[in-house]
Amino acid sequence: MFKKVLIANRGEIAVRINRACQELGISTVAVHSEADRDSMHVRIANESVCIGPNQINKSYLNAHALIAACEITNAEAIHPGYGFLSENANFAKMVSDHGLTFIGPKHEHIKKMGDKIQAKKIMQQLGVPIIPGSEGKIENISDALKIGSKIGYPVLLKAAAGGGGRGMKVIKNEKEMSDNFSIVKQEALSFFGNDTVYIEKFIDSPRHIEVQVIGDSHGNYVHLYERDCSIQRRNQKVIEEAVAPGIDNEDKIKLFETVISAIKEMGYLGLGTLEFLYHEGKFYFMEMNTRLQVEHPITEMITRIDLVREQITVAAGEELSFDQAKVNPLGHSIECRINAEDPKTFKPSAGTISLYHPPAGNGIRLDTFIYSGYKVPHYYDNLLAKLIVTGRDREHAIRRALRSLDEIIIEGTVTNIELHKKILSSDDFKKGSVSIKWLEENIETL
Amino acid sequence: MATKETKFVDKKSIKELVDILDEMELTKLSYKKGDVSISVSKGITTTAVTSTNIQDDLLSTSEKKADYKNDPRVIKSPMVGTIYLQPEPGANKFVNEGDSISTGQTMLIIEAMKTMNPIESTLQGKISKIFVQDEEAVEFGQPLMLID
Repeated sequence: MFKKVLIANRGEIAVRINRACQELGISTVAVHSEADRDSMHVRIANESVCIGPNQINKSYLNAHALIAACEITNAEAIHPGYGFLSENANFAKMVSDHGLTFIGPKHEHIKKMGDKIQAKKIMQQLGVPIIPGSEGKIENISDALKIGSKIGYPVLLKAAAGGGGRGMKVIKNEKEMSDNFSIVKQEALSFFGNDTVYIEKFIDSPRHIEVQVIGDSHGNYVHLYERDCSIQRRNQKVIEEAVAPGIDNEDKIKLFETVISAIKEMGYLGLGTLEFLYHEGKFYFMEMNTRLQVEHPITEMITRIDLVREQITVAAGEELSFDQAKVNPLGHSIECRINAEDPKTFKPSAGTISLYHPPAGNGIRLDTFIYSGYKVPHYYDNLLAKLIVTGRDREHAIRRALRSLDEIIIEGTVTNIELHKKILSSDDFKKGSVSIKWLEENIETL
Repeated sequence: MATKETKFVDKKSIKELVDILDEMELTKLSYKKGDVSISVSKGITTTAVTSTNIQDDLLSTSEKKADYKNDPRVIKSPMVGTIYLQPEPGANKFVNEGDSISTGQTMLIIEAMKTMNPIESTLQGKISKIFVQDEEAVEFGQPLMLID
């Protein structure tokens, strides 16, 4: 096992990883920008190194500073957390080239899954269901029309280099295809510097269902069931739950079998999440995240397995501490992402937390890094805390979430706590199975 | 570096002594353990340390944090790494306290990722203080030298 690990992140996830390390008897090195000197992840780590100024490209994205920080502290491994350099294949390679361990998948797998077109091809070859589409780039309008009639309208015309909901257009028929093909190509070029476009079947109002997996270097591959992350705004997840309500059990088991055989074939190491769109009983692979997810705690709560601990131990070459038979989900877990933002305008809100009081009691977990008197810097993302509640069933978990949101006190900065209460109290959410469009379509009337 | 201990200097003990000094409002305090003895004092500029050569570091530890972080006369470390005060082992130091230095002149080397990075002075004047020791690990923004 590692003696010392450097945590290349900040905020709640750096705190979360620090906990797993210290429970494993691993000494921790926190890194921080100048703005984060008083941040909780720095306070609780065994050592800390200031790696740069406030801007992320000069600090948390500064690969050279991170490697140098390992050198001066003798850390043997780097945990990248999520975001920042966590899915940067070049960084993962650089880490191993320096004789250090990157706590994550092999850099080849990060690279392959990072290219969305290639990832779909690979997954399709491995038997994972994907959205019917052009299987690669579309050169001209006549090919576009051919593919359109083959897979059936409506279709989505997408920029290969796009992301975050930009660079795509819904095309309802042949005429719209003729009218829009060159416009989308031109937009792709001006937004992303690359005019490669592709076509896929447009699935109206699907749900976002993702499958958590982990593999070790001893040939063990396990899934940890699914999460429903359909409550989103502008492609940002707001509420997640495990397991997903209202999905046929046999469909799920079939999907899990396919997913496990795919990652086994890849020889995948560490934690990974396969994201699917789910519509009318069918799953369509979207992408694979080759890292720890923000919403991993809900899976931990229903499976009683510490995912970060397992991620670290398999990176150190050890065997998984459990097998598939030991993964038995119990109860229902919901995560609310509490952001420093206005619940109506969604404007981020930096400021000093004048009073903080966490909710507590049975079934409550709060992953956060804030404390009374903490000044929330405006340089970084606005996630303040993740409220994770677990109940014996979904209805129980919703009631528990609502009472926790009533209990929590965060003063000094505006938060989206009221939005969470409205979502959790709505009849649609209580019924379950809402689509990824639901929140944006209903936000005004909640 | 927040807690890294160097080979020669028990920074933690010194820090504790300085804290006690402040807390008790004393001006001088001596401490001996084995063949190392440390004495710290304040209000006067002399600081005696016997058996080990840690006088500079003692001063810099307290001074770094207290006074110089935002001092415009201070050149701060532009990167994380390990300090070398001379171009190669056994050679003369690039600069010494009391030397004059001009903008662009190499003041020390910081090794990061097996690469030697010459650090040039961004100020011109007389070096009145060198805060770092040879082979000391530094973090971003840590004071290196005071130029008057």
